[in-house]
Amino acid sequence: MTEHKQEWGTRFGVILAVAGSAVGLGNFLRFPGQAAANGGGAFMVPYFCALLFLGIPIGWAEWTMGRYGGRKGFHSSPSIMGVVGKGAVARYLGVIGVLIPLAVSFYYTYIEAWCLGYTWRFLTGGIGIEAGAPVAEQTATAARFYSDFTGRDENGVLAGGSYATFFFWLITFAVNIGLVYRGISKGIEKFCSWAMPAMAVCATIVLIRVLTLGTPDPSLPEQNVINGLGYMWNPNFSALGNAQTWLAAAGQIFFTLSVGFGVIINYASYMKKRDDVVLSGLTASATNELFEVGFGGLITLTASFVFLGLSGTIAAVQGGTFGLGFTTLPVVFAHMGPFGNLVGATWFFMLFLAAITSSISMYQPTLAFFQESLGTSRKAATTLMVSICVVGSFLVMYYSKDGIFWSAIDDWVGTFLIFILAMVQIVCFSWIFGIERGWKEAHQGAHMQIPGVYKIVMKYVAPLYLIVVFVAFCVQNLGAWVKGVADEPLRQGALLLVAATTAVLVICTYVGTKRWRAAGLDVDGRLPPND
Amino acid sequence: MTILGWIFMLGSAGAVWGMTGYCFYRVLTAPEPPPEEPQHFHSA
Repeated sequence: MTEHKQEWGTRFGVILAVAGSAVGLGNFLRFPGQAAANGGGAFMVPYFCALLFLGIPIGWAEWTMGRYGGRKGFHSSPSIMGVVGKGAVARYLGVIGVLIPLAVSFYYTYIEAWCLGYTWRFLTGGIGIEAGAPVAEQTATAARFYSDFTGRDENGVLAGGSYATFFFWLITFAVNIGLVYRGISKGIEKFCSWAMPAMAVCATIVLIRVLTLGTPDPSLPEQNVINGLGYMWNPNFSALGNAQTWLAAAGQIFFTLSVGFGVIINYASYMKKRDDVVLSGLTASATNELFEVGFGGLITLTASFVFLGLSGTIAAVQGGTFGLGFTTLPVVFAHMGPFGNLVGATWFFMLFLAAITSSISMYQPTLAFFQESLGTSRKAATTLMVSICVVGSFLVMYYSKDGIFWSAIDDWVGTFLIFILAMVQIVCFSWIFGIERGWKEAHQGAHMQIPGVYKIVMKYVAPLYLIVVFVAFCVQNLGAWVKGVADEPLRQGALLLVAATTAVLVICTYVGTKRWRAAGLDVDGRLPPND
Repeated sequence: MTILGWIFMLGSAGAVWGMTGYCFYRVLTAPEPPPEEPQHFHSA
């Protein structure tokens, strides 16, 4: 089916690649904001519940399905879901597992380019914030730079003269495609093998710097590291009685682990029959949690609190993920003295590494799908994927005003469809493939035993948990989202792009199904693997 | 920072550091999988 059989070189390769896919900007920027806004330390109660009963079990299901599909010669979500879900319905629903990474890559690479651009700026003198200026003025300077750099003020960032952004996107996109083109072992695995440790080193440097800040301004003794940690971690137990807290925790776990994204199923399909998936899946999840709780939970808001105080940090949290990362933190770095720019460059380079290990995991499933469905060479499949990505990314970069265009894709594809795919995956695994068969399959070559109670969790608890979270999510957001699309032509344009991309993927799946049948492959999962 | 704040912070950070350390220890000390069986027939 492929020119050369692709597979992981080492057992660590797939673990680091999946962990790299999961660790992204959200670990360092979204998680602390969500925790602080939803009960502080108390947020960790629903957070760990969601990890144990939702994230880890669905992750195990996805790893197992991926490896099983790979044993039958398939490497893409539609073909593997067709096998596990035994038919055309599951196969076409599996198209979502290619659509999500592909559509998200349209804007993700653009945001990744911001991180690279900020790294470069901090290495070459910063973004123009004057160290002695009042905080309000510094924040305004950071906000102005952010708007200019990302084209938030008006559409047409390319035509408007912000060539630096385009230049950094070009570098980022080329590096991504180059890595994916080199293949699973020589490209993705090799890169993640140094990028993940490098990210950990960068995070440790920044963490040590933040935790040793003490009380930088003696005239403001309450703005110190301990109080900063207290802002993030002091528990507010009344939040546990609020459904929003549980919803936010489940949502955070769900998005941070990359489950229901279509990536794990593709990466696991390159594993061998006797490769472990149970311990590998758990290790990848644990690594992601280390970056999220162990680094993100200690760095971001603590640094903000120490320099900007309580009101400044509350405003930063309300400003959302990108406001915190690209407007507030540059101000914080400006307060760090002579090494501020170096710490800033280290921070944004770490975000860049976090982003690129995620974005390469978005391109690989698409590439594998085009190769597999159309029967083309890696080169031809890469050309097709690049063509689609260039169109999608150019539209995202052109319609840059207030990030409306890409936010619409993020809402409908990067959020809504993830719930749907995860639901399809856990139902196919536990109910159609069968929990007993799935359990046996998961434990082939396993280095650890999954506790027996997880049979019940995977069959009943996780799907129910998912349904409750999804319904609550829809009640809370769907009305506003639908109205947002009806009122805003840019959002309509974004959904048109998603619809066109979906049409291409559905046609490819149709063509692929005919090819696979003609080649005598077990497309509907009626036979056991013949390895 | 309250006592409960310390407990939640150290408990959460300790849990994820501990879980990651345990998982990596298990991965590093796990035996290599046996080689895949050859797909062709050997002559005597």
